[in-house]
Amino acid sequence: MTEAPAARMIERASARRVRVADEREACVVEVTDRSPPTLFHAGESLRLERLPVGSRIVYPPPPLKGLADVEAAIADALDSPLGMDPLDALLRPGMRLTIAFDDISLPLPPMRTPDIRQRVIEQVLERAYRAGVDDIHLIAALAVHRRMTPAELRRAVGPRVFEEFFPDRLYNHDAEDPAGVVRLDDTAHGEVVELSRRATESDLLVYVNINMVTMDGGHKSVAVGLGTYASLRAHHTVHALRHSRSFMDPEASELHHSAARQGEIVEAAVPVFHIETTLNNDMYGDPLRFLGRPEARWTAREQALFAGLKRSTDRMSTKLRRAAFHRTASPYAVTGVTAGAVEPVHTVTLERCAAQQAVRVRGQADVVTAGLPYVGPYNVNSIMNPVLVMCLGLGYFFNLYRGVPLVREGGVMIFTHPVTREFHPVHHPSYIDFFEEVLAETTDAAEIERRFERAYAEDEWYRHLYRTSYAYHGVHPFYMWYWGAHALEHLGDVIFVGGDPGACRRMGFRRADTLRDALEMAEQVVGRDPSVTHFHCPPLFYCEVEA
Amino acid sequence: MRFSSGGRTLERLAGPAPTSADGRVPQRWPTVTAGAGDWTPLGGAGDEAWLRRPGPSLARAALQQALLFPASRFVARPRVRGADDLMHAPQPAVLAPNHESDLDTPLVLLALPRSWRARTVVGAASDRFYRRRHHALISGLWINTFPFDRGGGQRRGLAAAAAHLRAGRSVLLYPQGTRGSGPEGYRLGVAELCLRTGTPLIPIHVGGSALIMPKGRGLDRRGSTTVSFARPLYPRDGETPAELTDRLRLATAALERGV
Repeated sequence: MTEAPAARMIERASARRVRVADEREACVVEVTDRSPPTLFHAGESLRLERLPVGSRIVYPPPPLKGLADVEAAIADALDSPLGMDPLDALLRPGMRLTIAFDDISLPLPPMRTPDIRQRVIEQVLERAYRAGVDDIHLIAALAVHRRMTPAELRRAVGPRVFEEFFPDRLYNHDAEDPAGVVRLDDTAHGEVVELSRRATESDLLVYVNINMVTMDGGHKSVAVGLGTYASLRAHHTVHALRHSRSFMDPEASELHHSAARQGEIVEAAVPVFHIETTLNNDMYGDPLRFLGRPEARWTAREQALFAGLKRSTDRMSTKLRRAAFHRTASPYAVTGVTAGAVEPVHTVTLERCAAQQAVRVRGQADVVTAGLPYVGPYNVNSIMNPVLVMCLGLGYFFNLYRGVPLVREGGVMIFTHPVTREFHPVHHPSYIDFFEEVLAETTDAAEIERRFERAYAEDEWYRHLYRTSYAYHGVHPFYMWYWGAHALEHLGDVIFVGGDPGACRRMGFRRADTLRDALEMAEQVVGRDPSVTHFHCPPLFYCEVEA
Repeated sequence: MRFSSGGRTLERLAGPAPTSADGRVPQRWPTVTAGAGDWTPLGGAGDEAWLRRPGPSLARAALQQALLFPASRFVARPRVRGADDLMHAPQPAVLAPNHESDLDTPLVLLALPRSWRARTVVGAASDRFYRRRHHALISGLWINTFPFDRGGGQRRGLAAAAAHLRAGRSVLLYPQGTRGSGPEGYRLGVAELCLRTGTPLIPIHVGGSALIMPKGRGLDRRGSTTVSFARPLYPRDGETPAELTDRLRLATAALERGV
């Protein structure tokens, strides 16, 4: 057989630039008298809810086809990068090469093996060995997230790479290691830039990214992923996040402007070869793929399957249910691999994200409903605690828009989630104290930032747990709260259907037993007969909203 | 507030109904949508790779020998020329027959030496053969197909074919893209595939099948056919897809004349 490097046929996306969202009107469906009930996720369970006649439901776009030959697409991206020399030309014997990759928070839920990070890293390593590079380190770019366990690292980079590099040359980034971090020049705006020492002192840094949402990637990859608390403090602030409208739209995001300024300092210090990959939204995989489609299009067989699934999950104990949900992996297909300099690569990546995720919606709504699923970026293999629920709902779901938010200013968001007062003791120790001490005093993001952030961020015990255990950094719950700062300012009320009364009250939200009650409560805020829109996420997508 | 009331069956099946039942249960759920529905999942069925594993391959060989080939021999009475020369041709290669009829694929497979047939996958138009999963299963089981996306400028189909070549399988592709487009209908994709992957191209001519099973008519009558193989064409340095396609067309024409 011919195993020639020439034996590759690469598919390329057409050069035609279209606004995909314009062609996606079928994703917005109106509820009529005879519409079936609507699927709502609520943590680890599923609910069927009735929406008022005349409401709109925004569905995710159907999954795009993946690349037919991913290996060839990776090789092609490495051979013909955008705005940079081919990878082979950048590698030379005796150089210091560092490969950084996105941590466990991406993609959600985790993808079936082989992970795309593994496929990319294996090809990069192959080329590095061919060029005679010996000094190679692999770093999980996790900023202030929890460290990845050896099993999680093995899953991300694959057994071959893991066996060879772990633990001395494959490790987690440590943002609190005084010897492992260097401070670069400040930006023109006075933002501190700190970066992993190994990355800074490398001759080439290769960053392997997975772009699930438009927030990720670009300059944010290296500057944030390999940064420290000091560098995050430049943009993870209440002010920046209130002025990021939304942070899912990098052009309109204060957060991203700041990260880009830091990124320029980083790029000046070390050449960075960005490899960005995009996935489709095929999150459920085969028999359950219908969950992402409109309920009215479910066949009799799919309805029976859904009923079986719902009844069996309803009967499971919480622990079993959580284990079952967290064990599922998604059969995402890779829709694009792009490599090269940060700006041109990220432009292409954002276009690919839009091709999969953008839906055009005309007009804002008074009330937006959404079902919050069991997993967010920060509780993979863990527990979704109330602070993370708030971050998923008001940080992520609220911000999945371009243009203006889906809900009007002063409107109401209604979520379905049990909001159980339950915390993972290993992963989220600072969250427990944040919930019990800080939120008991105030829920105002600016006040929280002013009064409490410093003490948590510099607490020795949290620092110790972050560095040696598998805990999120002490400052992380604050960032979760700031993530929702814009939503808290924008919304008139937030109601959790089926939420724990104590936990909801602590966070300043209301709760209701049924969606009907919640809608009646919302009417008291926004007036009689409100316009209702249901955001049918997951699978992940975002709305391009025209006011 | 008035709430929707369709889909009671689903609600009953799935568990406690939050609303009180008030009479009619509609069997169909019309919803108002704007624009065309684009929920056809993933454009139909995908590749059924498991059908290329040893077990299904064995079943395929048995089915072909027991049913497909006897039936093809009965209706088409093929005369095979030049298949012996394939023993000396390198594998994998791209097999490029002319395309007049649905009968062409069984006839070419029938004419191939066994060592080739077992390692040949057939590019089947995904818009015709892969619209439903059971179509995909049937064509995959009988003639070992993979979905080939034609048109669209995306070249997904060629990328999938290249992946098969890289895995050591020969690929049968019709350069004319569809049945009955004549000598002018040759497209450049197959030649481009050979040039990019450096694999030889084997011109094949199937004569007479158009009379037996013309496009759009189904099985018309019995008749006799010829299946002729030419020597492999090797891509030359600096050759363009158009030049290679010209060579292919000439070779196929020569086969047709019986040279």
